[in-house]
Amino acid sequence: MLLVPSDAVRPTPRERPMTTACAHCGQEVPAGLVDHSVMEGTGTTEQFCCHGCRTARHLITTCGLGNYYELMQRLQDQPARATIQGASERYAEYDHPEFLKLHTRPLDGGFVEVELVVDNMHCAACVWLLEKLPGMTPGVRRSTVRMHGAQLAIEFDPAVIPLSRLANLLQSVGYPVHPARGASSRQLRAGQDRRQLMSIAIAGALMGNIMMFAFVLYGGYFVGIEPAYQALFRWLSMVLGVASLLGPGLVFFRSAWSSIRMRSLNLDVPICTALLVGGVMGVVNTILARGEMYFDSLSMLVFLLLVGRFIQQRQQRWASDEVELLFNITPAAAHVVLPDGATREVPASSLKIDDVVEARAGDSIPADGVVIIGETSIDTAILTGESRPMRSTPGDPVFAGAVNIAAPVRVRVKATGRDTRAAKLMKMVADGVSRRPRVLRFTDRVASWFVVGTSLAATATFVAWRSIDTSLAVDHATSMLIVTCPCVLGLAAPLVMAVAIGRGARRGVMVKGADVLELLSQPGTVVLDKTGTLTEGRCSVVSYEGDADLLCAAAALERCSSHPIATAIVRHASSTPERVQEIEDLSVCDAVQTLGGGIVGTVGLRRLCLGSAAFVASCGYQSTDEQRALIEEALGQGQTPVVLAADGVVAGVYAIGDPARVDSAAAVAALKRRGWRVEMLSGDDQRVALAVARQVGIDDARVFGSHSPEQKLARVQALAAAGERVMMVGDGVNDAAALAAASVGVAVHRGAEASLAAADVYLARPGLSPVVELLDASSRAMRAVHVTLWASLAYNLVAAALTLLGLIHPMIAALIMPLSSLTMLAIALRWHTFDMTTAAEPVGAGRDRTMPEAGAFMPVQEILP
Amino acid sequence: MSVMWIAMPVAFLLASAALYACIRCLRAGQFDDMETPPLRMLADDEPGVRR
Repeated sequence: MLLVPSDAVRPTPRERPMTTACAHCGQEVPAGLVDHSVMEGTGTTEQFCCHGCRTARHLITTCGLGNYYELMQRLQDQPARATIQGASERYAEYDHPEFLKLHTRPLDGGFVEVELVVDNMHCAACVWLLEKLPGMTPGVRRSTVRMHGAQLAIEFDPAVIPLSRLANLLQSVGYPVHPARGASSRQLRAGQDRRQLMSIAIAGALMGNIMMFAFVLYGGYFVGIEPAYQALFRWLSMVLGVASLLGPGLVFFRSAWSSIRMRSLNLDVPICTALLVGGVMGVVNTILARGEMYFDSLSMLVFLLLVGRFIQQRQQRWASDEVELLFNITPAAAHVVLPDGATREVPASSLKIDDVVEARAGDSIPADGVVIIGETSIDTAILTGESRPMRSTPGDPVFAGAVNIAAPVRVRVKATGRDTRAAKLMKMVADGVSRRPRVLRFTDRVASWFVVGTSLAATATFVAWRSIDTSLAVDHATSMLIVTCPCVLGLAAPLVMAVAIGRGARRGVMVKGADVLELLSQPGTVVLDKTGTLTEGRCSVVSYEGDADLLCAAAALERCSSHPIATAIVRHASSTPERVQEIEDLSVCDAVQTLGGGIVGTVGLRRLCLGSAAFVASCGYQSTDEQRALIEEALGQGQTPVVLAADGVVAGVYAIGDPARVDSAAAVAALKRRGWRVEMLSGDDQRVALAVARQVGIDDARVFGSHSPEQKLARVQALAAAGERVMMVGDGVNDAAALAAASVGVAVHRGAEASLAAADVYLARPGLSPVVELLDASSRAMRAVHVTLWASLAYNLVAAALTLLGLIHPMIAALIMPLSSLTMLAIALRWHTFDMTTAAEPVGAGRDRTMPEAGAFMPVQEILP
Repeated sequence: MSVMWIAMPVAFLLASAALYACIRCLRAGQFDDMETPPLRMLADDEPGVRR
């Protein structure tokens, strides 16, 4: 047995070494659960966040599988999850009447029901805790968990306990909460789902019973049966068969009727023809006590089609979710400055023009406005895609949703609510989504041909046999209709898509609907966003030339600043736990930050100065020629140079930029190989965009930088209008409108919620390689659809020919149909679409904060292989 | 075979009862959430609970 020492396997906490981490899952152990007595003894110093983790760890180590922790360490490249915020004022906005109106549902007796999305819920112990703990608080009546979507529904009395206290309670035991979206549509869907399941249950019961009667009748066909009993079972079959057609089967008739009224023929029309003709003939034959009945095949057809439809609709759940787009970007609360100078917290929706609000460092700006007091850096990445923060001084405009990084500022409000730029962007997104044309599915197009074909075949049979024997003619025509029924199209094609989508979900590629796979099977133009899609999405140190001994000192000084460039420098120096410790041990004093310039301070015994070239020069430090050359080179590449000077001498030059992801170049090459034209659209400066494009292999002519969200939308619309098939890949709010306008919109891992609503595909893994996988899977899925179609066509032709010649007894026809359906189903289920053999764990699938409904895909994975 | 005249109605009654029970459970929302009940099953009952 391999025993691994405990401190070698504890996952190293990165940015916060002082908190206790669970020895199994690596997450923070809540302060109340740290077992101090264990630490004092000579035993193990392992702490656990829950009993589940303790048991899991014990099991893993006693089975000699301790290598699990080493492997987990290597795969763990996520930064410390920002979910555990710690500030209890974060939930204060939950008590605002606006919030309650939007997210709670009133019940009887003054109670309300709130639905929350809970992070970190992953086992039965979590379910137990979340259902028991709120119930122990006075004022809470009931607490129910739904794993699907990681949701918690709590019934409580807001007069007895405020919602913010409940939220804080849950967060303190390690389950941060967020409001769930779309509560009202969920009620509607629950009703629809139940009705569908009832239909399926009734259809199944009827089908089973009719099959049993058919058993008797087939037996009688071979060994003989008394006429009285034969009549009994035929009449019983008829009664149940008609019930099946008119009850659960009615939905097909309605769909066919509405499609005929719209002058188009969808797949339900030929199916209905078969059901109708088979049903009528069956009734006639039973009453006249002659000929065959088809109720067993027809009721089985109804049942299987309903099940297929149910599976399909479950996947398309995501598409009909309402997302409170605007509510996400702008904060719910704002600090308004009263005339006497005091500040008060009010709901952001109650702000009026010319109000003065204060935005603290780290807050989002609550409304569009102009800065009147204070200087700071603003991060507008969420709106414009600019990867570098902008300096804002009094007189500069700021937008709702942007994040204030450096210092508090006072802003005079110029536009609120629906008039802000963010709101206008969201309106464009919503319009784009609603106006999207419905792609005529491949199967629907084939359906119209089928109707014509089968009608002709049936008529031909009837005419051919009428001259010989009228009753036989009717029988054969009916057999013809049943034998050529395109149930395969109705079953196999959707099932191929459903299986592909289910497999994709397990690989972190969440697809909204089957038309996505159809659209992506043929090449077109792919438009890529830069920041966050092709690149990492955050400032990183690309290179450093100079004195390596000063790296830790520089990092220690930069810890005093929250600027993204400072965080990049700290991250660059914190490559090992020893260096992290060294950085923390260094003492920093007299640190002074100059906005837009840099930072100076004393670290240990050295006087350090870090900042832009101009800032360092103005502090009196001269750089050598080769350092100046380095600075020029960085600027030429579109990167930001940061100069490090210590004790009177310029010691080194950092080049800070947003590096391309390691797999981007390979992915772009793969896209080109498959015949796609690759373009880049970015909100960032053209020079930066060109530098990245050259790295990943996109032609200069196809790089469009400095594009505002409105310009991005215009470009995508221009491509679509030219008849191109456009796939747009992006992540930010600034991409959302363009995503909605593209033929297929792909939202990337950790994207803004607005782009998730507008997109057709969500990638739960970072990077572009999932896109390449999706393209491969799409072409394979479409090939499967084609193969099943041609195979079933071949079968239909052969069977039709045999029926025309009278060689197929109607009973045989009734048997052959389910057999062919089952064969095609087997082919559909086993067809290779997504490559399940290579490793691909979706990062935080189903638990990602930015995608509360990701859990909607879990049932599909359970149902299908 | 005349037992058929008794067996058939009985079989029908049984089938209808089963279908009725199924529909009642559906209407009451027992099939809405299929993932959480298996997890809830693992929780222990409170000690000393008498029904």
